[in-house]
Amino acid sequence: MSFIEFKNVKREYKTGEVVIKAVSDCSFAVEKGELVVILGPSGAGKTTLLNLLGGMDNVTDGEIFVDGKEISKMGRKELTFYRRNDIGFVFQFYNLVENLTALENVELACQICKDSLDPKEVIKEVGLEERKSNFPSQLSGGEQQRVAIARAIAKNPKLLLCDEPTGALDSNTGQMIIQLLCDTCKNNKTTTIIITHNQAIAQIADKVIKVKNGKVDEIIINDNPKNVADIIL
Amino acid sequence: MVYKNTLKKIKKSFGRYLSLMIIVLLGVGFYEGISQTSYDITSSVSEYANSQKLMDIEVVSTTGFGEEDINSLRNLLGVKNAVEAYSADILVDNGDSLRVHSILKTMNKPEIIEGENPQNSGECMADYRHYKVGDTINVIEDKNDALKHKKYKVTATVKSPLYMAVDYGSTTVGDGSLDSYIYVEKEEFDLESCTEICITVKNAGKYNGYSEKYKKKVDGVLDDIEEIKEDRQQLRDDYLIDEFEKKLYSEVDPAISTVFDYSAFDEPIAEFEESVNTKWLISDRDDCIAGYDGIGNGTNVITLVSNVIPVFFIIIVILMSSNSMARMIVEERGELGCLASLGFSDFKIITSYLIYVLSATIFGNVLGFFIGSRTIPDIIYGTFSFYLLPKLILTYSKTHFYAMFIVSIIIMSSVTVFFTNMELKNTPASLLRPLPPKKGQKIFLERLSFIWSRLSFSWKVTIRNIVRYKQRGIMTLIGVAGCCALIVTGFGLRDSTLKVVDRQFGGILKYDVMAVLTKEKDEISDDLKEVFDKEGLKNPVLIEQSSYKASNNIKSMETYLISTKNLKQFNHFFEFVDISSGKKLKLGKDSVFITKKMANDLNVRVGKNITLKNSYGEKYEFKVDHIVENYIENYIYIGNHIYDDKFSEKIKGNMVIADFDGDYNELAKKLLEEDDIVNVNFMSDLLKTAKDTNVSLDKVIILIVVVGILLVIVVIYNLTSINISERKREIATLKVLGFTDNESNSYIYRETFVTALVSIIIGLFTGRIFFGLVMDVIESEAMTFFRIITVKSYVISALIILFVNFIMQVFTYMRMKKINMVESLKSVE
Repeated sequence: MSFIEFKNVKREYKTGEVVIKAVSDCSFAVEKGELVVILGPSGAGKTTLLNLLGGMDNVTDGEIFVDGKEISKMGRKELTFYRRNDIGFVFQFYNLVENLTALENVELACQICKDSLDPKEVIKEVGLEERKSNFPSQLSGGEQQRVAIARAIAKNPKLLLCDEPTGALDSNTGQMIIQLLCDTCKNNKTTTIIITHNQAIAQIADKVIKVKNGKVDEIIINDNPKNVADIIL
Repeated sequence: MVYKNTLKKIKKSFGRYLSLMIIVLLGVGFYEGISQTSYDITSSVSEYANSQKLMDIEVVSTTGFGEEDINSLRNLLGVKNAVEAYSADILVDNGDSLRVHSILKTMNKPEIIEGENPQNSGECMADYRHYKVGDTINVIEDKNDALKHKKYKVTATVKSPLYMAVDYGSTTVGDGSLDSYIYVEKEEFDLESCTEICITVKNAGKYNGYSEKYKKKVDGVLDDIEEIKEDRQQLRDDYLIDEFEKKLYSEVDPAISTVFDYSAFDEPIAEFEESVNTKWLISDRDDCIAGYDGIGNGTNVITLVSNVIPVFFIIIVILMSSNSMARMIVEERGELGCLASLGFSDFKIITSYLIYVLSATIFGNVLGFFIGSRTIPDIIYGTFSFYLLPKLILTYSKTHFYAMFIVSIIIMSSVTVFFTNMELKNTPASLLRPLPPKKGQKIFLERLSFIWSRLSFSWKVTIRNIVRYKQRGIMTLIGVAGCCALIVTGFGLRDSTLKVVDRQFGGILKYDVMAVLTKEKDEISDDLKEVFDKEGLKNPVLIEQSSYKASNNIKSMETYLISTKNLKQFNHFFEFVDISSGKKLKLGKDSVFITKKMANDLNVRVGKNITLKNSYGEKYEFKVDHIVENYIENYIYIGNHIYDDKFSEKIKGNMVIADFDGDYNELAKKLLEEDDIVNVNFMSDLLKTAKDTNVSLDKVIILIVVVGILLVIVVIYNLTSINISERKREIATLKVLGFTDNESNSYIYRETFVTALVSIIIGLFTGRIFFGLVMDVIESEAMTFFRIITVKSYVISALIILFVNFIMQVFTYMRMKKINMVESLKSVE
């Protein structure tokens, strides 16, 4: 069994009479330590896939397995602990807590999970040692995203989920962020999934899952992923 | 179009709209209810008095009245009607003491509950609380043989306007307390002359029986009666002596009338002259209607409380409504900007908000007014259980309604206009941009690293958040602290009234029994001493107590003068505490002590003189040595040297006070069998009566506390719901990070909790201060209070707020649980 398995996953939203099929019949697998890019135009259901995988949303039908556990069957409480111990999230808009310093944002995540890394070390790793006492509003977008990544990896998660991590950044800064994610994946052997609509990012992935209209359109295995330095965002 | 938008706004933020309305409703309803209560109660009572043609003045004569007396009273200028009435106190076979009244055709009409007017001799109407139609009343003691029959059949049960309290007052038969009453036709009385005259005063019925205008009318007639009193008493004495002589002479056998030695009559005549001593006792309703003044005092205190408390409400209402308005306007700045950029005038935009706020205000006002006037008087009336009252007539005051309507609208409009204007000062463009999120920043405490480094991570976050949301923190603080202070004040009032009673009856006055003697005596007679010994009375002391009017040039007030020659034993029964030094004092031979309230009201200081006037208008001056603690009634205590000197006669005594531990009823019965004793009072009864009178105030206090709690709920609800909606994103982030519901809750809620704790502490302190202010207002007009708030009251107040906080936490917890991570994190709002 693969590290992650999606089997015929469906997710429908009902708003009144209208039923919106965000994801219909998705199946794919991801191996441990892989860097995967989920690629697709906006509205294709990428984020829904990520939310389902991250335990933030429930399937309408189908099964999702992560590391042998069937998370599609988990209850509210189990999902909370799954998010806490197994998952690291990185969002497009960082979602840092405004009232905490960079270091404290990392500490906030660490204080609740079991095998967390030393927040100070992680902040150093993402290159923000100098700015660890700054509040989010005092940091640039790229710096904020690095704090967000530090917060995610400090939890020492099995799975790192990134939703358009470069979406709000200029290309140079974006490249640095992708580099950081790539390094994390390779150095820590953390399975990493990046959602993007940017074709260029797909070139660095081990596996690219193309999504269209809520369905998996194509799965491409990249035998020779490019270096981050070689792509142009 | 803008106005349609307002309707939508109301729908969208219904919770906020409702809480705005509830705040106004509570403020208006509470104020109106309480302030209308006194009016409703007193006007119901005076309405009832009018319908039963209740007398305004009663004049009782110790020797009865003649035809001329009645005429002279009837002819006084202000008198509307004066009728003769009979009454007698009797003992009946079940041991109860009863007062028998004659049925008057035009006054003091008893209200028939069941049955019919007596048709035959030997029938009566009786107190509905003790008798049923068909009962037979057997008279076993009728001291003056006042009644024709020894047996009376009850043909009707009645409620008499003469008895408005469950405690009917005192009597000279039985155990000293009057148990019941009956009404008989005046022909049932076998008396030569009527015992009392009931008077109604011209035009007094037009006014509320507790109003100043009524009092003025009645006082005028009282003064007039006081003026003719001396002459009438003298004439009555002369008449009786005359009659006595005639009777003596007529008994002489006409056959020997020429030879009879009439000087033999000199001695009995002289004796009779000595003994006959007509005295008129003139009283108004306060004195002759059981419970009448108690109702007045009770409602007075309520009025005073109702005048002070609303200030608080107004402050909280302004705060809370301005807070939610400000919040709403900030939330909708985008829309404001949109409207402004579309070219709507500021006026139109402001109007749309005004409609929102004012409609809530108007609804709150109208609902509050009617709910308040409708329910609160009933609730408080229900607590006057110590009194026998007519059905409550609820009234609505138009003036109050308009006044509150206008005041609340002015307050709410100015708040709205102020905040909207402030926002509209921004250019439409800047309004259209979202408000940047509150920036995080270092707080002062962080610079004190020796403290900061010791705090746990979550505490650091909490403290920083409190500082970050300063404005909201201060709002919570003022709101919660205010309500806490309100509750503390309520409990404090209760503690104080209870404490006053305990302190006065038992602390300051320490005797258990007071026996009133028939005649003044130099010493307690040996016979009485023996009786006292036998019945277990300890340390009996003979004292002199009489009533005077104390006055300065401007004001006068009723006071009791108390003195004794047995100072040593006397000091055992009184605790005199000097007001300024707090030292305990002993009354000496040359001491003059006066009580605090009288000193304050008449502005008499130590070393100054106080003037007393007796009912004959004779004046006495005393130089004050000390001002002593006292709460109920006014007293002047003087040593026997001073007494002998000022009154130019050796002091006697008319009362005996003593310690007693045993069966009070039994003792009273035994003592009243003695000819020397006319009445017996017990400290425990005084204590109970005084406490019963406080029940109505208790309910007002409960109301204050309840309203305080409701306010706290609205305040906390308002603020936590703002807190949650403002920080949705932060909460969602926490959830994504894997915080459990409990953990995110404590992350958010710890702030509220800490703020609440601080608020409670501040509230307890301000409560103490506010309580002092309320006391200042109440005290100067009604009575002296003991200023105390017990630890228990502080603890209960704090617990109440904590409890409300806890309940609100459950609500926020529910709301927080519902926050959807996916939705909240989608994009920057």
